[in-house]
Amino acid sequence: MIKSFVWSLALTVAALILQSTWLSAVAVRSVTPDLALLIVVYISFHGRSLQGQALGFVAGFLQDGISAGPMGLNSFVKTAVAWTFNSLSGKFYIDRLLMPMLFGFAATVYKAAIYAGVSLLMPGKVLGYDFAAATLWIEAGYNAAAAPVLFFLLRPLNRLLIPRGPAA
Amino acid sequence: MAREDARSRRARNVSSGLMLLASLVALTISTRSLVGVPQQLGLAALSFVQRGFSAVSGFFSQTVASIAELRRLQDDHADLVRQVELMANQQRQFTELRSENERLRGLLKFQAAASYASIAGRIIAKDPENLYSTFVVNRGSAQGVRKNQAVVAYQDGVEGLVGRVVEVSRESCMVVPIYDATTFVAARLERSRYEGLVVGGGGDDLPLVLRYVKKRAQPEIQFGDLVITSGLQSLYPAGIAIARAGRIRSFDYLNSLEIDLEPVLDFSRLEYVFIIDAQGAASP
Repeated sequence: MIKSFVWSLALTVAALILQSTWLSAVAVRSVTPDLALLIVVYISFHGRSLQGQALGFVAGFLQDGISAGPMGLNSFVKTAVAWTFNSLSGKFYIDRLLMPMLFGFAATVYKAAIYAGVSLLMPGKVLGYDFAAATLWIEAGYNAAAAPVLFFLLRPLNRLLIPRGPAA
Repeated sequence: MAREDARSRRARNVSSGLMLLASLVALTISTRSLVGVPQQLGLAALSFVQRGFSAVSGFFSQTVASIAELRRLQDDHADLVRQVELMANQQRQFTELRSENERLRGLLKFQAAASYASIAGRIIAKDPENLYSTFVVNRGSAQGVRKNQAVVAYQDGVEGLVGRVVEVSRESCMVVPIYDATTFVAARLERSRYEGLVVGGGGDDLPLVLRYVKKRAQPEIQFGDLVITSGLQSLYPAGIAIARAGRIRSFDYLNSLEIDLEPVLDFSRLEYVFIIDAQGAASP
């Protein structure tokens, strides 16, 4: 469990660094795919334990350290997303294309909804996505496109990333 | 009788033959015509075989040599390709270094001409969350950077406002740009001197907006008018170019104008910035 967590955290941190540096080269109107979110979704859905949530929590805190958002914001958002997708674990058959795309898109919109909720609770402190602006939908589309590729690349690493044994 | 005649004829013939042979030998010896004949005969006979052997061995040796030559040529070709690649890379590096050198020379001139102390830095990362537009610069408290310092950049001969420092670590700092939706900059129109507040649009591809400009200023504002920092905020020194005026909007329900602004800097091309000390700024 600890080994899987460390591996998944290392991978998520690498994704965070990647999306803050190199991925700006492939940004569409300054929007880059949220690979860290997709990894959290993947781990949460495939793992039956609390690993996804723990990953979202720790990786979110690390992201808060390099983001302009208040400390705890990304941690909260990612933990909530992880919890939701973890609760869906085993309820869907994941194919290679459509379901990952749907997951990528849904996770982004869900993340935006959580941001909007937090922004309503803390007006002026937290920015919320504008659902009418292109940024959100570009990101959702980008994540939907990136998810099948990322999930395909993560599948061979399941032995490292997903703990075996009974659910926690 | 007949038998004796035949025997004598044979003896004459043999003797004649012997004499001819003897004379021939004598002639040959006296004229030295046969000197080297054995060698020539041997040479002729052996050289024929030698040529055969030589042809066969030549075929094989040439084949082997050709293969070796081919291999050598392949090696030479690979070497040349490597050299061409190396030279192409060097050419590219040279071009890149030359343009970087020109850019840095421009920046150096700017830094030397600037009326305030500044710390040059390079943008190394952007905010991983698309909702925020901050970026990270490779200068921190170790280099003297403090929170809320203004950040400017020099691009195409123009000095423009980038934003301000919001977080500082030892070796890096986080800068929030002026196009961020949370950023407000006290500004004025350079030509008409009317004041307003520049608000970010939320993205580097969205226009800035100058708000709270008095309605009576409308006849004096022209498309392309430069908007500069007013210096009324302690964060930003006065006189730094921000943007140029675009569309002017006047709403009945507002007692002020809203002007869309086009930033003087192209934020998508920003690489180097200068973190400046507002206290060290010259007055406008």
